[in-house]
Amino acid sequence: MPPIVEARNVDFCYADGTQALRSLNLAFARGRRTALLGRNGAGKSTLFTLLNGLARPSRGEVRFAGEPVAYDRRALRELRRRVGVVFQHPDSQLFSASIREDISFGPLNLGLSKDEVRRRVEQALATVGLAELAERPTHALSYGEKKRACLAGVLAMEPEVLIFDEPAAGLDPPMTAQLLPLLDDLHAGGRTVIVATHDVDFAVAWADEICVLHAGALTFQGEVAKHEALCRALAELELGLPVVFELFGALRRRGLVRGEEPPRTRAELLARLDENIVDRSCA
Amino acid sequence: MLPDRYAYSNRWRLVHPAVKGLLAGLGLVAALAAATPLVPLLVTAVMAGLTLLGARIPAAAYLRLLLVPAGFLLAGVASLAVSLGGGDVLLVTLPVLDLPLGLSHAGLRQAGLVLARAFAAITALYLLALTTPLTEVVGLLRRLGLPCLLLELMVLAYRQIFTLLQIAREMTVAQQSRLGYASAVSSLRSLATLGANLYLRTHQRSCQLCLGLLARGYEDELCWLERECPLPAGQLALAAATGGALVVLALLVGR
Repeated sequence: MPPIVEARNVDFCYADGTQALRSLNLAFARGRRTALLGRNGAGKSTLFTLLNGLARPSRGEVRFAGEPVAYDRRALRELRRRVGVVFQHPDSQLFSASIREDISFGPLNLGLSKDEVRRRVEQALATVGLAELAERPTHALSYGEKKRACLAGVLAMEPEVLIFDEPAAGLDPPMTAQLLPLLDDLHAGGRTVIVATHDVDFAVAWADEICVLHAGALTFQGEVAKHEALCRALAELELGLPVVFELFGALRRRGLVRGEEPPRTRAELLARLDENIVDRSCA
Repeated sequence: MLPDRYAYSNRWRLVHPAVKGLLAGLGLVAALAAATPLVPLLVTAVMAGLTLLGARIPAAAYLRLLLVPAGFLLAGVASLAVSLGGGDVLLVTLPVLDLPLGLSHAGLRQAGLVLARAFAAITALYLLALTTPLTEVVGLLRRLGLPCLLLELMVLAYRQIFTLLQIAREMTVAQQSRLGYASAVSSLRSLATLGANLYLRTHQRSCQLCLGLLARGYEDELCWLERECPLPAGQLALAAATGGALVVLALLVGR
């Protein structure tokens, strides 16, 4: 099966001459969770505007389900229905003072019936946990609530590919903790979910696959299990290594844990540590 | 913003916007149709009474909100009442050119009528504006057949007011914390840079908003689904009766 979205040999240059992407080859497999890691200005947001057809590559092509994207009106509408992007700043997406009206915007553009739109709006509100705040005006919502309203606006279009630009930026730790199960819910139906972030701990804990973008070029793509190559690419970026990887390495050198593959979460690391202690006391 | 806060939290928040719109609309018609100040004063009393006692908007806040248009009004009306070159009651004679400045009966009558009508119109509009969130007013105007372009502008402008206010507030605080307003000169400079940067930020925001809308399939028309609720016949009839009575009085009295 072809990858669901793909950038082939893509260059992208802004009008002011900034080259944001260089010969980028990046394919996202259907139904996977991918974390796109990179520093500010690495080209993550630019890539997203290309995948959604908001911008056209200067060179190369973007493909959806194996087919090159045609940039006519109908093709673009179809692409935007199937690839949803949740941008980083909520205030630049919410156009209406009523979040219900705002969420209804996308599905109405798809030409759905009023009843269907209404059903989708209510479902999206429930998924992001805003059903009880739906009557409040947009400007009375907190930053995190506005971010969730943006997500609902995209979810109501029921896209096959869901792209998030920095979903955790500006959220406090409890809200960030709520984000993980929400992302898992969104992925549960077999949806492709792509998240841009510079949080390496979040990336290894959540993703099936990690891509590292550096100065507009891909420097790593692979499963978290390929941890050595991943760590090399991250070291080049100066983003730091995932805390669990570092701790695991240190504990392993002291003979306190065994195994080759590092754990992905703190809970996993603790479990491995306990396992080892049990092993020792038996021996 | 004060008016906006009341629009979302008054006792009439859930009254159908058509009822409030009809009441305010008929009040407005009565105010403009009246030939003497009597009916407009009655309209003012009814509208203010409904806003304060019906919707329970706090009186102090209501009066404060009325002060703004009242200032403009009084200045405008004064020029109607006072006439250059005599009049019925001489006030002063200007030392320049020996020009007499006086009040005329006709001028006074006209000023009184304008003042009463304007206040009636303001209180009628306040009844709607203070009790109904803008999104519902827009829904009402759409059903009345206002062109889509105007409605889109209203919705976008209204939302942007709040983002703009927020950015302005943040920038002002940042300037204040670095002594940007410590002296008259620095205040002027800070205010100028605030204005310039605000323009740039607004432009940037509008570009981002456009991208966000395009990503959700925006083509030519900004569309959204409004809350639909059945028209309450009883309340509508009551509003029509009250407003209608005011209009009839306006047409009868003083003609």
